[in-house]
Formats: sequence, C-alpha cells, structure tokens
Amino acid sequence: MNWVVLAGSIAAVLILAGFAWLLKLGATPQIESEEAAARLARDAHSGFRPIDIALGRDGRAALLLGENGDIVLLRPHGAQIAARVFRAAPPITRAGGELKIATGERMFGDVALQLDEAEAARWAARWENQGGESADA
Amino acid sequence: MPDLPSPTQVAVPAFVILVLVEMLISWRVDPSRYEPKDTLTSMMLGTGSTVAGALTGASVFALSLWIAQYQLFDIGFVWWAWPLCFLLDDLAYYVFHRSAHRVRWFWASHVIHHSSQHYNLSTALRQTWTGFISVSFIFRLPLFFIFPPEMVFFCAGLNLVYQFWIHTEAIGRFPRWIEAVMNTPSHHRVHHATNPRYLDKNYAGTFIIWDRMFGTFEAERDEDRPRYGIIKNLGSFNLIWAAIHEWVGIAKDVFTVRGLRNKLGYMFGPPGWSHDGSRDTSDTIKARWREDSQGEKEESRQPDGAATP
Repeated sequence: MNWVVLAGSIAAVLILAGFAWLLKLGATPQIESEEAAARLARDAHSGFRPIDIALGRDGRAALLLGENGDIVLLRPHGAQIAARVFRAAPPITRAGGELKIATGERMFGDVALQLDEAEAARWAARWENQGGESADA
Repeated sequence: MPDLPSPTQVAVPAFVILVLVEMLISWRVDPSRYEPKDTLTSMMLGTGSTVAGALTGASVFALSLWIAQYQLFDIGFVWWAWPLCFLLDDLAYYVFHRSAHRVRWFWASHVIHHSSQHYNLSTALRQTWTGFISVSFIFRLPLFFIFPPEMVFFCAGLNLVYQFWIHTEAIGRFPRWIEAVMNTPSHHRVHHATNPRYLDKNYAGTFIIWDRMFGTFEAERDEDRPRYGIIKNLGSFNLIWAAIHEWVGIAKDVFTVRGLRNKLGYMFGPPGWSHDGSRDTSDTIKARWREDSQGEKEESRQPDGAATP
C-alpha cells in the first residue's frame, strides 16, 4: 500500500458516505409506543418482561423495569436503537420532567428521557425504592 | 511461480460500484438499511484494516515461507492443487471463525466486523485492525505445510472477495441446491444476527457445508427476522472505540479480577464469560430464550390464558 492508494481509498469512502447522506438514507428512529419499547427491550435482553415503562414524549428514549429487577434503557443510535441492560439501577437525575440516566459508559453517554413532570417524579421515587440513586438537578 | 495479483485489490472497484448500487436499492426499498455515519465508520475501519495488514503482512508472509521449508509434499502450482487449496483454506477459515466467536481473545479482534447494527455491503468492509495481535493467522498455518504460500494467500483473498457480496439484505434466497452448498446472503444474515436462535451459527466462508457437517448450521426463518449487531451494541460511531473496545474490556477485567484462573477466563473464555456469572454469554442467552419460548408456548396452550400448573 502506498500513500496514493491510501488517499484514494479515503476519498472513495468519503464519496460513498456522502452519497448515502445525499440520498437521506437512515433516518433517526422513534420508539412509537410502550408496546414497541417492550418489544425492543425484549429483543435486546431475551426473556425480559417489563412491568413498568417510561417512554419519552419525543419517542427518543425509553426506560423499562423488568419483573426480575433488570432494567433496560433504549435510545437511538443512527437509524437503529441501541440498548443497555442493568442488573442494578443506574443513577438518575431529575430536572422537572427530564430524567437523566447515567450509564457509566463514556462512549455510550448518558441518556435524557423527557417525561411529564408527575411521571418523572413517580419514576424518581420508584428508583429510590429499587435501591438506585436519584437526585434532583 | 506465477505472478499472482491480490484478489481484494483487483475487486475494489467492483466493491465501490456494488455499494453504490445497493444504496440506490435501499433508497427505493428501505432507506433504513444504510446510515451515512455507519457507512463511514464501516468503510474507514476497512481502510484502517488494509493499513494494519500492510504493516503486519510481511511478518506473516515471512512466517509462511519459514513453514514452507518443511512442506510435507512438493505439490507446486499444479492445476488440481488450486481447488484443493481453496477448499482447505475455507475449512481453516471455518475453524478460525468459530474460534473467533467462542474465544474472547479472538473475538476481541473479530468483533469489529459485527459491530454495525446494519447489514449491507459496507458492513463487509468493516474489518479488523488487530488480527495480528490476536494471532488469528495461526489457523491458516497448517496449509503452508502442503501448499505454496502464494497459492494459500491467493485463495484466502478469493475467499474474502466471495464473502463481500453476501453481506446484503437486497438478495433473498437462492434455489435450494445453491443454499445447500454455498454460503449465501440468507445464511450469512443468520450469522450476523443477535436473535438468540441465530447466535453462534453459520461460520462458513464460502461453503456452508462445514456448518452442516459440524452442527452449527441454522436456516433463516421468515418469522424470526435477523436483528444485526452485537449483544452489547456500541451506541457510538467512534472508529477507535469500534476497533479496540473489546481489548479495553479484556484489559479492565484482567486487571480488576483476582486469581489466575479468573484472569485466563476473561481472556480465553467465551465472550460474555464472567467469574461471578453476572454477564451473559451466548449460551446463557439461548438458555433463557428457550425457557421463555417454552413458557410462552405453554401459556398459549391454556384456553383461558391461565398459567400452566
């Protein structure tokens, strides 16, 4: 491999990715309903049975509590949904109707869930019952 | 000795054209099959892989020449050696690939190829940067006792080129006789899927016969559409992270856990193995899925939905 071939390869890569962008391929997905959130969580964590679901108003994230205490967090990643499974409740911070879930992973990032204020308060309280850290921002 | 070209280098223009064609098909049929950032990540990982290959290829070639001094036969470049070499290289690929999914050390390098949640031709180019570190070339070494190294590397290149076009959702299924012998898009979709039914299946490179022979074959089912990626999807398009995240995971686990047995488990156990059983391996996922599926079947047998006694 020489520098010309490497430069040509990178140029071809940028052209192809640019073409995908021009065609508007891969729109950001939405989690449309609690049923959809439950299905996605089950896809990510086999055998998962949710007993409570917090679905963001904008459909951009969801937090699901399972019957055995497992927790699944969903958020978009490109045109797909990425999930994280927690065996113990991750720390959350509440600011009005926003719940921010700290995943503890820098590359995955924290996830903000937009809920009604009362729903956010209910989840924050529930979190403390789950043994998780919950704080008001 | 014939002057052999690199099959992958010759095929690069075809790769580019086919990716463009597949993008246009996706635009018409299902725009979610491609995502620009995912495509960029996949293809930059492919570019990085060729750089890594160029940096380490000479060492592997030198090793192959050293082994070739001890060849068991003097086959040379006789015509019938080519298909035989291709077939045995494909078997070596099967063994490598199965190990790459069952041993975390090899998985740390191979996981790059599975780290996209998309399944398209650009995914085929998402190749490892760390194959040399994981010593994944060892699986091919026995071939150098039989065939000239140039022939083995040429066949390996052809195998890699073959595997490019099967990374697509644009092709359904081929007639039965083709699906019975060849690795096809349908078979390889199963391999890239994270559905419990499909985990650790269809390791074939070119010929699916190895999976059928060694009990790792699973057919794609219309009622269980493949979902692509890895068990713990990255959630990031960061190139470096995609290339090294499992190595970082191994290092953290090995330095954190106590006891040599546990440290070795984190290095050479199956992906997801943990000393306290707190993580999922493909075996535990499959077991939970079987239990869950059985439970659902039994529930659905009850006319009033009552629980099975």
